[in-house]
Amino acid sequence: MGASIRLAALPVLLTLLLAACQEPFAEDRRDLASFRIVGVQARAGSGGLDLRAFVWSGHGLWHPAPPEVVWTAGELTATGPTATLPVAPPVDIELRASDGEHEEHAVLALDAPPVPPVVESWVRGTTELEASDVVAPIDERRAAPVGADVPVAPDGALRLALSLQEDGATTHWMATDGTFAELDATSTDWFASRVVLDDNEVESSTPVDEGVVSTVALVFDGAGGNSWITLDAAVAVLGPRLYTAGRVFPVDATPGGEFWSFTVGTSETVAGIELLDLAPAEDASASEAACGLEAGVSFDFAALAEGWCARDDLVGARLVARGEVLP
Amino acid sequence: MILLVGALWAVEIQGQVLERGTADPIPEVTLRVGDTTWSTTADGRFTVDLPAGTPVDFLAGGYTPYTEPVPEAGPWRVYLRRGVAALEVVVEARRDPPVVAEQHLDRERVLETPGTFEDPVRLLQALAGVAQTPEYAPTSGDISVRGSQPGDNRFYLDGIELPYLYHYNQYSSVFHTRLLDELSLYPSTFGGAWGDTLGAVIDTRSTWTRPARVHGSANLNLVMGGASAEVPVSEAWTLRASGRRSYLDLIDSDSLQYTLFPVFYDWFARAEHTRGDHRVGIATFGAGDAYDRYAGEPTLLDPWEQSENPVFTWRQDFQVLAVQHRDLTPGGSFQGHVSFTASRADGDLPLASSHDRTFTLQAREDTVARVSDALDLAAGAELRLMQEHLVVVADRPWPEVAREAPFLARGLSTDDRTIRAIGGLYAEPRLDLGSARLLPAVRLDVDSLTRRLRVDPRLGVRWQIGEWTRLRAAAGRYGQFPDTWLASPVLGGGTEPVSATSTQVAAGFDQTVAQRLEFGVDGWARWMRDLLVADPGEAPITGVEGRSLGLSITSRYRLREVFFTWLSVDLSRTTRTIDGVESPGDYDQPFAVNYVASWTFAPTWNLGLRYRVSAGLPVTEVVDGVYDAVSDQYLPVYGPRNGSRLPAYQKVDLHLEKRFELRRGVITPYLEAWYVPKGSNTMYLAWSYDYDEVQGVSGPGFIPLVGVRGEI
Repeated sequence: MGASIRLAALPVLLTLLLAACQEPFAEDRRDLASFRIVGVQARAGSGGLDLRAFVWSGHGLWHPAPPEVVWTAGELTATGPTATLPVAPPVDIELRASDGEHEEHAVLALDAPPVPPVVESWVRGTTELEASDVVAPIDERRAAPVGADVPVAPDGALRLALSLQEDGATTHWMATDGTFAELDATSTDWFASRVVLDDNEVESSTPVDEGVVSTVALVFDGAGGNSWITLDAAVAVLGPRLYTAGRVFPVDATPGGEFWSFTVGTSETVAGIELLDLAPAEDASASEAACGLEAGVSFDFAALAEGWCARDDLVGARLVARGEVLP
Repeated sequence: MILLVGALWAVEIQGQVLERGTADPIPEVTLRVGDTTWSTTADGRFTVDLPAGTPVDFLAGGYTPYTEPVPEAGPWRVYLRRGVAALEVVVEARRDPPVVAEQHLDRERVLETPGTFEDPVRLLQALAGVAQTPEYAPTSGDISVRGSQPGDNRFYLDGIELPYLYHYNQYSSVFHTRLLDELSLYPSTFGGAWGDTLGAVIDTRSTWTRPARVHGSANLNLVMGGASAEVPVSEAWTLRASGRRSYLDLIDSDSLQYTLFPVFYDWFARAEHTRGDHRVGIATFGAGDAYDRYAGEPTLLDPWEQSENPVFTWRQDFQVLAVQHRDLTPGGSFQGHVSFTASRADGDLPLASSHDRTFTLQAREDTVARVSDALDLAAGAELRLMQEHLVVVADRPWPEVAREAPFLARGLSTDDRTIRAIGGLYAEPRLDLGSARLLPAVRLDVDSLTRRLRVDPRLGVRWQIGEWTRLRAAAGRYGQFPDTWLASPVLGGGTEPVSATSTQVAAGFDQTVAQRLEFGVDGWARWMRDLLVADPGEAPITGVEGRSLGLSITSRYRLREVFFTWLSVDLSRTTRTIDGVESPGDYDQPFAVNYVASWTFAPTWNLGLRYRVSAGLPVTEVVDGVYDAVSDQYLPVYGPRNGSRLPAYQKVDLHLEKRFELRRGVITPYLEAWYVPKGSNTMYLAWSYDYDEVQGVSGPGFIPLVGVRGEI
């Protein structure tokens, strides 16, 4: 997945002397594949700094078991994907995340109290771009009209764009499949193809499989203020889909509604779960307590993605999520 | 001389015998008709009085015999072709330089060694004791001799120090081959003539030979083109000039990495006045390199980041104006120069810059006085007055440009103007004690920056045993004053600049077998202290100690103008001790083998082969990556310094050329092929974004190259 790029000899024979050769790496920054720390957030709280880590399990937006997360600031420690440390900037916070097989380390050096960027809204819509447009000039791609938020065809393209409360932050995009071609600090085109580039030319393009591909946008201000949002891309998904806070789930339900109750089942997809027995609900009051969240609130799927609980702890629970089913 | 033939229709014709290709007159050529012979004058002129059509034989040593009939009318120019040389065996060990350890290259070996593109300085890495670096790697232009760091060496052209030796990535040296007369490498334990250097001295000498007539040359290969000219203006005056420039930027000016392809150029001009054993020259020369590249690695950035990727502009050049002289008298020799050098190294980003400008006034005088039949006294003095102005403006650290602008990589800003004087004196009596030659020396160096006076004793011995065996040994103390920037309160961080010291010893022998095959063995050792290690983008580390040990085995065989071959095998170990931890030196190379052969198998054909294999250079592995949540980048966690090594490096160069000798010129097209076996050309390591994976970045495995040079 991702644009694999190879440094290659320049076309003119004379300039072979300037060439170097390197095979692409299996993963790059944009790939959500192996176990990794996707983002680290801190915000000032009443007890010091409230900390939150998004640890990618390597399986998808779920964890077979909650990762071991240890936060350290000097002599102080705390554990869990979310935690609080009684410290204040300037401070260096170290993080160790492990699933028993892999271990990753992170550091968050804060000179001042961080302010996580707020994503006020986002846009997701189809465009008429094709895989070959990955290398098109930014201005040309930017001019492509953005259509409706509907499933994209294999080898089609989606436009993803964030609106932030304040300017100045940058977005790094990651996904479980497909290829990105960024447009500016907060928007990108996502192509439902695995594009391989060679000297900035498309060498090959393979459409992604049908289904739901998940993307994660990490928004950071370069001063320790970080936040993230998950936006799913539905590829050739036919039939009704529940759209809830950026996530997309294929469901068996009549379009419409504002709240939906469902029973959690397991799935082999990136989402890790499927939503069974979907039914309209008046509000979120019937949602069970689950995954570290209180009962009676709309379920936040980020809790499962970030490892607040194991997937199996959630299977069978009856939850409610705010969202809309589209045909 | 006129030969009268009693033929009614004999004609008197004047003529001259010239060498085909150079058109130089050939002295004292024998003309023969039947049993009658006569000779030309010293400048090849003759007069004949023979019937037209009479065949005349032209005979000269070193030239192919030639017969040509008398023409109808004069003037008659006869061109003789150089023949196969009389198998003159050149025994290098018969040279008797006043140093104990020296390696020497002359024009023949430079022009006909493959892989050098006729560039003598590129041949340095084929010499014993010089570390081999992969072609076109970031380290390719680094000269490390007997474990020295690149900054420890000094480069001279006719005694004038050069700010740097190579154009971009070792594509070529900074002066034209046509100017070169010889190149000498003093790897260590040299005598008193050189100071302020811990490493090696590379001393190049230009040609001062007065041409008999106007000579010119032009050369063109896949990278650069150039021309040179030598003009005898009068009996005493000669003008000499050359110029070269790369041209890839004129064909295609940008790529994924460059917005301006690397451009490099150099030039030279000198007016020479020679009267007998006295000569004076006024010379000006210089070189420059330039390119514009994206600061960040384009392949690692997304399209929007690449659109914001700033362009880093790099400009590096120097210019020299010099007055040189040499005087030979019955009592000795005097030579020296006064020169003025301006150099700059400028790196610019939109919001940051590093400008380093240096003006240097150099003066040097060397003399060798013959005191008696057994004693020569060499002595000399040199002075360098420098003004360096270093201005760095950094809005943030720029590790992306660490190699060109290390101070920008550190994100420091400063404005330092420093005036500095470094002087040296030496005295070196050279005692001939029959078969032995004793070379004691004392060297004094003084530096205004460190306020330090160094007194360094040195001693060399050469002992000739019989005609074909020579023993050599030398020892001494050497020192090098620190770079000027270390005195900067910002860049040096308050470090007190001190001079580094090295104690060096070397011993060896040369043996000639059957008057033609030479063997040499050299052992050497260097101990160093008060070294400075400054990794690009990092604060300097002082108080470093170092040690280098090695053994070089060489073998040479040479038939002048027909065939030469040499083989060198180097075994060595170089270490540095930083904060009590010993690790391999940056150019530690446990083994290096060089083989060169060149064969002129027909009068106008030459075939050359060069093979080299060496241990890969040390690298510091990254053992882990830590995610920096502020920048969303991974920070490397390094393992032991230089704890790993790149794969062994191998390269084969083949060279084939054909000389077309015209009457008044020579054109030599040549074909070269470079081959690097798979897995043998790893230039450096590259890591994945999270440092979980590592790969070697390789250069091209096979390159055919063509070029042509012409001379008139």
